[in-house]
Amino acid sequence: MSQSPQPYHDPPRFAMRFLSWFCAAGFREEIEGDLWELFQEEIEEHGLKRARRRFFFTSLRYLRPYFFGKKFFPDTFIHRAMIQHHVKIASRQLWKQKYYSLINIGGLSLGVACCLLIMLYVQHETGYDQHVSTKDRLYRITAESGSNAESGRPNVVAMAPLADALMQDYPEVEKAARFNPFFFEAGSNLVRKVGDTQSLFEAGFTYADQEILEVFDLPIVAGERTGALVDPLTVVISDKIARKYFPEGNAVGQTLILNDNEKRPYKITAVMRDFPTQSSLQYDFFLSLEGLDDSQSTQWMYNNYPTFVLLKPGVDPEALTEKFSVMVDKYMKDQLMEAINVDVDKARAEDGWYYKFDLQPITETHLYSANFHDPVNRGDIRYVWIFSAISIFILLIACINFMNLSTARSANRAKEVGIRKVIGSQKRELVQQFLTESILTSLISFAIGLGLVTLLLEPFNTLAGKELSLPWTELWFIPSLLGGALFVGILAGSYPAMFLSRFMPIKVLKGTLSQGSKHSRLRSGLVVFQFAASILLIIGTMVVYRQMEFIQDKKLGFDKENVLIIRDAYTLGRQTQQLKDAFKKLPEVQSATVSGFMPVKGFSYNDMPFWPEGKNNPEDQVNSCQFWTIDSDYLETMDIKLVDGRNFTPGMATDSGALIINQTLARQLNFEHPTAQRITTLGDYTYPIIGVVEDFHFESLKDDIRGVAMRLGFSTFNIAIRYQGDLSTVLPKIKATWSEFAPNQSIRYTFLDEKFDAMYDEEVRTGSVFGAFAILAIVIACLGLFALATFVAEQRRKEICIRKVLGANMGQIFILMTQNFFLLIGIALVVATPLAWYLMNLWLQDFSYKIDLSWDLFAVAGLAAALITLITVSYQAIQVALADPALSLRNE
Amino acid sequence: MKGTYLGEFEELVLLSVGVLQQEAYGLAIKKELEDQTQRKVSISAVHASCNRLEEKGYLTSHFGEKTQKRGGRRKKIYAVSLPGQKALQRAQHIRKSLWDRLPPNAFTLDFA
Repeated sequence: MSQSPQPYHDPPRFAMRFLSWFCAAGFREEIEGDLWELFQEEIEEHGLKRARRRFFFTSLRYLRPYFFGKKFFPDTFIHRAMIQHHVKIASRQLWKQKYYSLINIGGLSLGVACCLLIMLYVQHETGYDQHVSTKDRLYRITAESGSNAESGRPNVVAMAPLADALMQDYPEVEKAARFNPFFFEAGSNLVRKVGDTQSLFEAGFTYADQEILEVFDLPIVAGERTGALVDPLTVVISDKIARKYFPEGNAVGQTLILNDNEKRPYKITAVMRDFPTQSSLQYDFFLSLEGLDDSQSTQWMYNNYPTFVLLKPGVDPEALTEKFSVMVDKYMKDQLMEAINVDVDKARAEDGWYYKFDLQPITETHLYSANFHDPVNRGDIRYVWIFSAISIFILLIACINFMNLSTARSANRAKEVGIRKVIGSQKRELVQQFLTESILTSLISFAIGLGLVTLLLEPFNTLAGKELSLPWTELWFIPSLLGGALFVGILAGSYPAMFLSRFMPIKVLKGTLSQGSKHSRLRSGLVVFQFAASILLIIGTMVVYRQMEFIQDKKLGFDKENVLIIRDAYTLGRQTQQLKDAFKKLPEVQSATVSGFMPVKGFSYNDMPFWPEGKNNPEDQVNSCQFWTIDSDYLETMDIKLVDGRNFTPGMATDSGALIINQTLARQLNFEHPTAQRITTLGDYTYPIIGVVEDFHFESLKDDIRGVAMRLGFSTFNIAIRYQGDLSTVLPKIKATWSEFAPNQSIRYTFLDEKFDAMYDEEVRTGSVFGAFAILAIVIACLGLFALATFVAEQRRKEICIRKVLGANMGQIFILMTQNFFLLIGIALVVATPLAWYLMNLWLQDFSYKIDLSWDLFAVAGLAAALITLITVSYQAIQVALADPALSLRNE
Repeated sequence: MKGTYLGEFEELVLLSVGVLQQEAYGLAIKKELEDQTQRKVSISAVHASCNRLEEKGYLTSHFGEKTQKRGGRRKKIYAVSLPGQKALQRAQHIRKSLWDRLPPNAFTLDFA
């Protein structure tokens, strides 16, 4: 029996207390003693730490009704009867107080509907790329360069030779794979199968390495994955496309013709499953990169290839990233010196220049790429947070309504509580009863809220640009809804339940309990919270709207209205020029131009460095300039103003080697008289400058204007037409002219202003979603305020009547009834203003061109809140003020 | 209402109490069961089972000494009561009579 002499350890106190809390007294000594002894033995066996953990889990296993004894459930039969009784009383109460119940349930249902919608949205946004089986080891390469002067933005588009270098130099890399979504036939094309004459327009083309199919483990529906993209001119298509062009299901082995180019037929080698909506990768055609000369390039100067790596199992990505730094010296140093005369070592030492590669987990690509140079528009984790916060706010506002109304009306229930206590109710039973009431309210609200969501899902999807649906079939959905209802019921009900069940029966029955006005400080605090949250949302909405308006009205430096852009003009080859001339002959057409470069996102970009002739050194270089090819009609068509020099002259031979630049580039090159200068770019091409144009915004206003150099040339991608007069008369003529030139191809066109607006799609959407939720929050808060005002009016009716009898006039009574509420709104405004100012400044930081947060924003928001309060409260105030005192005082 | 039926685990617990005699308390029963059956037995299951058996009248109990090792708590020591012994015998009897009624070659596999 003798034990080791070491001192005994005490088991975790928390677990012990927990055990003695739920465990019935009769079991306690035996269980505690045995567990204690077991604990001592487990310390010897596993050490203190594990023993403590095991002790905790062991104690959890006693959580079963048997050990609770009769403490929690005196007898199952009575318990059921109690619940039935509670539910019955609760539903009677709800029914009796129809007016308050309506406000409670109405507000809570709206709140629940909001919450559900936002939950669906958040769940959708955070679920991207979770289906990728290799997601734990799959990373996207990002590259970032910067210096002391400016930190860079990571670029997700890497260089052609990077993938091979990663494979060769790093044994940790299992596979590396590239895309090219930019060249030639990537993007969109006209497609037909061999033998057909009519081509259809299809988007979603990209070039890809064979390895792409492997690193993403793309499921193949037909054909073989192995070797699918190894040969030149092969293509892997999605199931959707396969069914569209080959409904018989024999797609593999067939041939597709792109853009009527019979010389480059693409053979279908495999059909892959369609990408799910929650995939950051969305393509329908993978064209083989093999045979594309650029894919074999050894140049580290051009970024055209988004690159993915699959690491071997167990590789630590951070350790690997550190090893990437040697690639800069090994591969890029010499080329940087040769091409743009940059000495890497010198730049590092002097400017703190750096270039680094990084790994981004595939599952983060959707939400964590907001500040990246990414050709695809992605989500933003910040919006996920903002919307989650809003949904919680709205639900809280609805819960507060419930709390405030319940405690305010406590006087009406006080007698009931008193009688129940006299008869023998325990406090716990009363709490149970009130909780039953709030949970019932919450359950009804959840049911109605769910109904609202099914109705509102369509409009919400349009508003937010998503495809959300209620996951009825998911196992977790219904239980978590019920759990949510229970949680909200307890959250909203616990305070009123505690408050109501605390009443002393003697006081209540004697009638000395003052009428519900007690605890009004807490109630006021909650009202302040509600309105502060609402004002925050009002200000947020206003700032978003103003900023959007500002962007849309900002002087862009070009005229985006009345410009029609014809896409796919390159299919006409050299005929494009004649087509343009034909368009110009139309009376409604002011001007037309042929160019692949349009001053909005979604058209070709061409990044180049420039420097003054003969000054090829890092200080004088201007990097990341646009180098566009335009024709002599471009400036007129876009309505871009020349500020110096002249436009290109058609037919003048020397102009083909000349440049027109924008003011930014002139400034960055430090030219006082730019038109007298010559500048040089990569490949040692030197051009004279003949003109300078006013700056124009060709990218999103989130970014600063960059330098632009334009040369005369033939870039055939689009024809832009500036027209005047009514579109409905112009468009048929344009279409007719097009058909003359391209009888087999339907015309595809967009408008410049539409393309421009699309750049701000996400912001506009965010704004409207924000606005919708702000309105909802205010409506719910007002519902509560209205009910509270009604209650106060009821409570003070006698007081008001006596005041009237004594000579108070209507105005005085109105002020008496409303002043308290205005005080609360004032406090809410004071609380919300600095918070809103801080948060909205944070949001505006994303934009290079932004509005100032002026005081009138806050004034308008405050005024709006005050006005809404006035309208809400005054109905009751006026009614009280108008009431006939005799009617109320008579029956005293 | 509480039946006289013995579950498999209850039967094992009863037998262990009988085996352990004066040392038949929760933790010791758990260890005995683990040793004999070669399976994990949770202490909470032993406690629940012992107390249920006591309610049914198959076990009696008394408290032992306080020890420091148990944080100053007494051992609850069980003993099999007369009805408990009878229930065990009945269970054994049922099994035995079933075994007896088994045809001689019921479980012998034909490997031929």
